[in-house]
Amino acid sequence: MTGVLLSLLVTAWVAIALLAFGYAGLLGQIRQIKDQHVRSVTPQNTFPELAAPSATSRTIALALTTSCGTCETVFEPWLELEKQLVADGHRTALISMDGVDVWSERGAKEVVQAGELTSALLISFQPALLVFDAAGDLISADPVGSADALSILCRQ
Amino acid sequence: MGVERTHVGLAPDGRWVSVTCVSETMQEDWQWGFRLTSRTMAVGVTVARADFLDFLIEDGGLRQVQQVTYRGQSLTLYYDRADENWVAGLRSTHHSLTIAGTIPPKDSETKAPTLKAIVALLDQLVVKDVPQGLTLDPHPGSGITMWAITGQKVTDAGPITLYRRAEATGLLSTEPGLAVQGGEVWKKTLGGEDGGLGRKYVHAGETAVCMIDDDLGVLPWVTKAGQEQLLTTLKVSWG
Repeated sequence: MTGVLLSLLVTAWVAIALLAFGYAGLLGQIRQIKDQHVRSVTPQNTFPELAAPSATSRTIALALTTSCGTCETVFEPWLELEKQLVADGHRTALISMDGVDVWSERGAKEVVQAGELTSALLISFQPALLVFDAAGDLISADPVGSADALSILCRQ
Repeated sequence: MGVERTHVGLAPDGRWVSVTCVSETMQEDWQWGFRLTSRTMAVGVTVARADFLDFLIEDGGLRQVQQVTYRGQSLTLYYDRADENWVAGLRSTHHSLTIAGTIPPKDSETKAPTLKAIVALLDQLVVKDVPQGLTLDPHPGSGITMWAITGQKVTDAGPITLYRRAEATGLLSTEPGLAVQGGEVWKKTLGGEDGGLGRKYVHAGETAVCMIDDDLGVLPWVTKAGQEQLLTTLKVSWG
């Protein structure tokens, strides 16, 4: 009788051990799938060229095209707003989405061509205010529909 | 004496709709309205001819609040004169897409949607604009539903509102209607007596139901003969 009970106990422990191994394997697979997902998504949202100067600061970039009316409206106010952003320790940049640089000669300090970035900048709207962290990760993208909206977004 | 006219249009959900009737006149373009619900918004949507927004701005007294370029097209957020309603208008190549809602009172916890929220909504839709119509296709898993789709056509015998029959069974009577070439017709009064505004003809075919305003005595060009001609010849197919 004792022998039967002992063998049942051993069988139960073996079953528990197998379940634990199976669970650990399952967790490993989930982790692997998550890693693959992160690897497939991250590169599109990381732009080392636009990395902020430090962990506590941000790069704040205004993305414009020459064919959008509001882009023209917000450009001059942007030149004023970026002075304050730089004074606060942030990096500022102007991203030309259509490859045309009319902005440098009009006073923009740093103009980045979207087509020359290491990843495709897939923004469906312009003007757009983009914020990047020290790793160059795009952490927010807001449509800018007026000079007032730009001012509010830059103060946030 | 009218002539037989057939107009075929593409509804916003991608279904083809055709209207045939004998009428002196029938509006060439289509106007579509429907409700759209996402995980964050519930809005009314209108798809109409490209210059429909100009009409809204002029007639509805809309003022521009913000404007961006969205996928190469102008996307503008407007508020009405009383700041009670918001309208977001996308001017596309052949049509305009108008999304609208009510602005909550200033002391309310909910706010009118921002341009960012409207862009986020549009980003979850595939908007395809061709001369026959503008279609909206929600991305799989977006949780967006489009419902209560109606089409509008204006004829000399009164404006016609078209519904897909599967969505309009509530408009139909249990009593048999007058048999006509394209289905059955009933005369109804909706919402009580209001000086004629609630008088309608309901026309039901196999796949569509139409509501025709009974504007006899309200609009000077609407005649009894014109109404009879329209109702007896109307054929609507909603694919």
